[in-house]
Amino acid sequence: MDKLIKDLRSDLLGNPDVSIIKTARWQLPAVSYEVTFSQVKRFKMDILMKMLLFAFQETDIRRAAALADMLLVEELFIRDLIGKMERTQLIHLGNKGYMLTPKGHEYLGKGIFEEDMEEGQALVAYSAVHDEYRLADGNEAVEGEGTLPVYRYAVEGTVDWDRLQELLAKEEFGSAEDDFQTIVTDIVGCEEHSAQPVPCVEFQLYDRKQDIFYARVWSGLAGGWDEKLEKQIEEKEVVKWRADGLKDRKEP
Amino acid sequence: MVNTNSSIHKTSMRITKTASEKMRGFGIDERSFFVGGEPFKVFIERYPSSPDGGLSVALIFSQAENSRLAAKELNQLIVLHCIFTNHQMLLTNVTLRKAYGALGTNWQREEQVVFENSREPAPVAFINLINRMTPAKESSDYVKKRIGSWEGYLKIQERGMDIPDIKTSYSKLAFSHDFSRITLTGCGLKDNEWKTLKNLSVRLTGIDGDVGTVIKAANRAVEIELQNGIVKQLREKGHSLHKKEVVFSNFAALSQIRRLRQGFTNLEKGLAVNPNLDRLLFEEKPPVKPLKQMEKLSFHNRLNEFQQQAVSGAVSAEDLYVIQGPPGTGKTTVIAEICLQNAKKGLKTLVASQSNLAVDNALGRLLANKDIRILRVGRTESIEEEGKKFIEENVGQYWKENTLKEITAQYETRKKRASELARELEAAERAYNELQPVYEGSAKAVEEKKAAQEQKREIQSLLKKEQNNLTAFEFQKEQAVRQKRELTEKLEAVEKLIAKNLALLESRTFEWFEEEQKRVSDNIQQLERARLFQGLEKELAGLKKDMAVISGKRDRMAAVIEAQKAVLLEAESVKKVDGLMQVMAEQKIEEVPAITYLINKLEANRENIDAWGKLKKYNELISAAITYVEPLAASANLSIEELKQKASAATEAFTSSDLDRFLEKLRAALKSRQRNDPAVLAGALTGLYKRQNDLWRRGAKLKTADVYIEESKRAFQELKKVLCGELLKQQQHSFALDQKWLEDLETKRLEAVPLERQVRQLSDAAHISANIEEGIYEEKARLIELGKEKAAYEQAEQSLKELQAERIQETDALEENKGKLAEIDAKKGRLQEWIANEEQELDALEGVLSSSPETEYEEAAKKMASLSFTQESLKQEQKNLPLLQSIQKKWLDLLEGANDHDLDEIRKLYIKHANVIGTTCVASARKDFIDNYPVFDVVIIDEVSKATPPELLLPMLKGRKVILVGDHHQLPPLLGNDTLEETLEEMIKENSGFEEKRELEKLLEESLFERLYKNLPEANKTMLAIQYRMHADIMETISPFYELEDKQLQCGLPDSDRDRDHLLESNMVSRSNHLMWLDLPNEPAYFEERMSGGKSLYNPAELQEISRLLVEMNDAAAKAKQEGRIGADHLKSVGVISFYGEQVKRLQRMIDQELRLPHLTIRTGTVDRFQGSEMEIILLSMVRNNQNKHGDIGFAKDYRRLNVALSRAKELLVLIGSSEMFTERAKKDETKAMYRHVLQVVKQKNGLKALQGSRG
Repeated sequence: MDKLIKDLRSDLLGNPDVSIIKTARWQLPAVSYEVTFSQVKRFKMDILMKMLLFAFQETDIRRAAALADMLLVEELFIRDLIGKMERTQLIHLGNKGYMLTPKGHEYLGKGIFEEDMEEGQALVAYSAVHDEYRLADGNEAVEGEGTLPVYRYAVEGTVDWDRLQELLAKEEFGSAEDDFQTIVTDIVGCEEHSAQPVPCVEFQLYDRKQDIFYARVWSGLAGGWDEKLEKQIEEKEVVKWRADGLKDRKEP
Repeated sequence: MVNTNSSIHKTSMRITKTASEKMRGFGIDERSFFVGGEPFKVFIERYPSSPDGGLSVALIFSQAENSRLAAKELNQLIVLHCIFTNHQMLLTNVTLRKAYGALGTNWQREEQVVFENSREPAPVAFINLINRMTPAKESSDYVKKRIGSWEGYLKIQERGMDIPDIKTSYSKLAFSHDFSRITLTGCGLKDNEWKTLKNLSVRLTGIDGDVGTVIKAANRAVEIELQNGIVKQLREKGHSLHKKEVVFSNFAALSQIRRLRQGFTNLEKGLAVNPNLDRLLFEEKPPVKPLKQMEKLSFHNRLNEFQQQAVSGAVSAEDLYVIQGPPGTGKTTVIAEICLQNAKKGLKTLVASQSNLAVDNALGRLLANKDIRILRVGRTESIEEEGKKFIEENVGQYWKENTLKEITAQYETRKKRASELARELEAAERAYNELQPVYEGSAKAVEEKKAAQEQKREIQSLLKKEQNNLTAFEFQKEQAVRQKRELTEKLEAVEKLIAKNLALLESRTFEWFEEEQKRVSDNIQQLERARLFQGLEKELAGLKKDMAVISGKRDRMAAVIEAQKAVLLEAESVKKVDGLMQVMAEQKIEEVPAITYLINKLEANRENIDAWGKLKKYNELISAAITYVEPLAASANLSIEELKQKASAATEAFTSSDLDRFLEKLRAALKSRQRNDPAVLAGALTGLYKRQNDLWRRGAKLKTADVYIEESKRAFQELKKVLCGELLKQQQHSFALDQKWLEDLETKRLEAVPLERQVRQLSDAAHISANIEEGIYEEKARLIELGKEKAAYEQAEQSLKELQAERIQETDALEENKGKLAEIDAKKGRLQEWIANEEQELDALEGVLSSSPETEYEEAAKKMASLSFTQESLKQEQKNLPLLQSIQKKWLDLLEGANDHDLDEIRKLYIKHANVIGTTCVASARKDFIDNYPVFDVVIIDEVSKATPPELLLPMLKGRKVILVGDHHQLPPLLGNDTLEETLEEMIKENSGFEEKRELEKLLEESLFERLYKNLPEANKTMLAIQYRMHADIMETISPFYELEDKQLQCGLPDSDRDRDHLLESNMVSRSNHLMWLDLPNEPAYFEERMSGGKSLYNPAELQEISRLLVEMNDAAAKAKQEGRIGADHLKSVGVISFYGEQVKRLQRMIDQELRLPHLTIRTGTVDRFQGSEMEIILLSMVRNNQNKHGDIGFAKDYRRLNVALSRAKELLVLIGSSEMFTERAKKDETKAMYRHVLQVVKQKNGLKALQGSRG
């Protein structure tokens, strides 16, 4: 950690006009959750095609326009897809309307079929200040410095399951075969795993040339300069730093 | 793109040896041209005519034809070069051309051609077709020549571009405080490389993509402005890059310029989608086609009249339409509407703009509509939030969201529908049943009404008949009454006459009439005698008076005769002519011819005597002179005789004055020295002789004086004799008159004798003297009257008997008439009674008739029909509902659970059928874009005036129709980060040997948009004249900029004060202020300052004032929140702008560093950068304030910049600066006028504020 701080300082002081007024270390409260979710394996198949097959199976449709009205989908799209399905012999035009071929029935069946998979688990880290969920690898290097003060503008947050699912839906779990995809269907459980505070280093800086006070915060969460935290601190404190700075300059 | 023709041309072709050899070389079989079968698809390109006018042409075969012509595979196109000689087509050469870009240009025609191997002439139609073509070279030369004027733009951008990539290491990388820039130090650059770095793009090893652009390279440090998208990467990785290596490259810039150049080339080659594009761009009057018939459009956005006009015009235009959109006039809405209208017609639209922001704004405004499929093409990192949802990877998601929304809405509505349906159906049935009796009732009423109508008709016809009868009775009665009146009158008259006759008969007797007549006749006789007496007496008196008159005349005549006798005696004794003349005058004797003759003779004699006397006198003078001169002449040896002869040679006449003058002259001459001069003497003597001759000649014509005197005496005696004769005649005349009067007297006396006798006989009537005539007249009248009375008297006796008979007759008739009248009255009374009854019955019917059961009946019938239809359709819906609902439910589930994989197909379909594509001008020329979207039906370019013509050309090349949207009263293009002025200034400073500076400036002054807008016909352009952004007060400041347009800028806000209430109240700003000028003195304490070593200006005093103002506004916003005028979460948006970059930088620093303004959201920027943005409040820091001689206000003098600056604010605009500087000191009059107008409006709106308090 000390090495990191040293490196960061030297980076910042690379600009000769900049001086560090103050360096502070604190921790950003963050929580990691053990999230359990159900998932299924599903054949990769376009929904519109699936819907068309389904509709043709359910009712008699001759004209693309009729379907377009029903599904509120552009007629062009439907015509294109019907053409494609005719070419691949999934459907054919019968007396009453489009009919599924045996191949079409088989294909639709495959598309509808979902294979339940074992529940999955993931470790998700959440920072209330950032209001941000991210997958954690579980081996975050937490230095045994539990004595660091807590970030002065920390807030408390509650878990938003929808957003958790959103996060998980984006990720691919398990090894899906070529034509199949795995889909997180539901969050089954969410257990607060541990409070894992993120160590941060804060620099309060002054640029003489431009007469500017500003902040730099290195966050262990992202492993880089954290804009959110910097902006938060600057917005709340810069004017005060300036006033203090002026006072300091006047007092001696 | 190419003119095509469906007909097939058949032509002969002969081949030269050269061509044959070339073909063999390429492996082309000569015979394959003539094999027949399908015609060849050939692109014909005409060459310029040879000097002798010969026609030559290139026939380019499309690549598909290669297999028919050559055995081996050719990757290039076969080109036949032909000339026409003697109407034959001769193939002279064959070449190959690169396939790319060579085919289908506007300078070519695509035709189907069949070749024949014969010596026939080529068909005339084919030759004419080629003849009509413009040679490709001429067309491209035309473009090249005109596009040359745009070269300048590229030249500016190309400055110092031809450098290779520079790769080097660096030792340190430092971020600016806000991560907007990085500074590299310790670069291993060569000295000459430093200069070239500016504007190059920068890549850092370890970071993906370009990080930014070099903005400054000096003092061994390179300053790089970072791209937005890269900052996140740099925050995380920037401090831990393993290899400190940087690459400077101008690849991006170069490729951009290459694209721009390619645009020029494509236009030259004729590769514009619209074959007329070059002429539209370059001709003075763009040759636009007339608009299609304007169709009535139904608009999907709420549009004002101008917006509607713009949309209709843009939709109807064939090739070019221009929309001038001043600030806040809803350009984007118009663009969105045009896109939608196009989409509905199945047209593909490109929305292009110079900046990504404008493209994203335009797309963001498009309505989510099933017909419209928007695709945003471009580098993801440069696309704004608004446009992100339309990029390729997101459109599936965008489509899903919209479809989901619509389906959900329908599904949810329909869910309630089932129960609703049942209710509606039941209601319909109930309504139907309820309506049934109403319907039947009204049907019956209609029937009743019909019957009543029939009855009414019958009664009316009867009534009509009886009423006719009644009229007849009335007529009869009238007649009878008239008869009665006549009879009564007649009877009365008869009675009267009887009475009169009786009275007459009683009053007189027959004898009385006899006596009376006699008496009157006697009277008349007596009167007539008296009248005769008086007449005679008068006549006699007249005669006596005549006689007295004649006696008088005779007395006077006797006196005259006496006098005449005396005159005669006197005349005998007269001795002189004058005496005779006097007698003649006194006695008024007529001058008879004899007298006249004698008087004339006397006169003539006297004159002759005078003349003779005169001649004698002159003769004496002349003779004396001759006597005097002759000796002198003789002594001067002159021959007297010669002179005499000479003088007599010619006869001359001389007047007496002439003689006098001559003698006078002669006297003078003889007294002078000339007296001995022989010439003078000769002249004198000759003159004298001549005159003497004349005198003698004249004297010879006269007799002597004595003879004349004798003649005169004789004439006098004769005159006296004649005169006495005349006098005697007078005397005799007088005697004759007297004699005549004596006879008259006698006649009169004889006339009087009988008269006197008569008078004596009538003397008894002499006593009657007065009114004789009147008396006679009266008595005669009386006599006639008596005669008449007598006749009447006799008549009366007769009449009386007749009248009495008549009276009996009339009385009987009257009695009869009375009986008839009574009868008529009785009949009439009965008829009237009947009619009254019938009419009563009609009134009763009217009640039924006035009701209108038909409408009720019809309505009921209609309602029943519609209800039964409703029932049917409801039943149908009820039947279909479960199916529809289940399908939509399925669809909903699918959509909800859809992830990117599931949407892949949709995404592809969407992209394939995208019909509104948005990208920047330059990106529209990227290779992949051209490949995917070669042609658009419509190209809309927004913010046209901000793009340079080369940039505009790129999207224009792709459209059949081009719609330009812009405002030439706002700022022209930026070049890179700099304004044009800055670029130029820098170029001059660099002295880079760029000589076409003046030419460049000209280039920059002309705006393509402005020229097109001004020169296009009315039908092809519109100005959006209603703005919705600014409070009317603010708008007033920019109105003059649009004054010269046809339409004036108007404010479309219904109530500016309400709609643009900024809701703030402070010391300086009140609610009613929307336009203010915080006026700083033009004094050194408030002057502008220049950065040391920099070029940009700033103004510390204005910074100070703006700081104070921002704090005041922040407090005012807080107060407004407390007082509930503004929502607690609302942040008032404030733009702080300035003409100068340095001032903006300082403003931003001040806002970041010195101020806490939690109730405001503030953006800063230069005026140029703010174009296109709007804020609730704008503070404009004007910076310039000095007392320099030139009164230079720099960039602020450009009216377009001022226009932009003034038109950003919606609710409140505050100018901060010295009004004196801008309205008094500014150099140019028009600049001053421009700012004075602003100041004047500010004053009018009570917005001018002096500085509060003085600065320490």
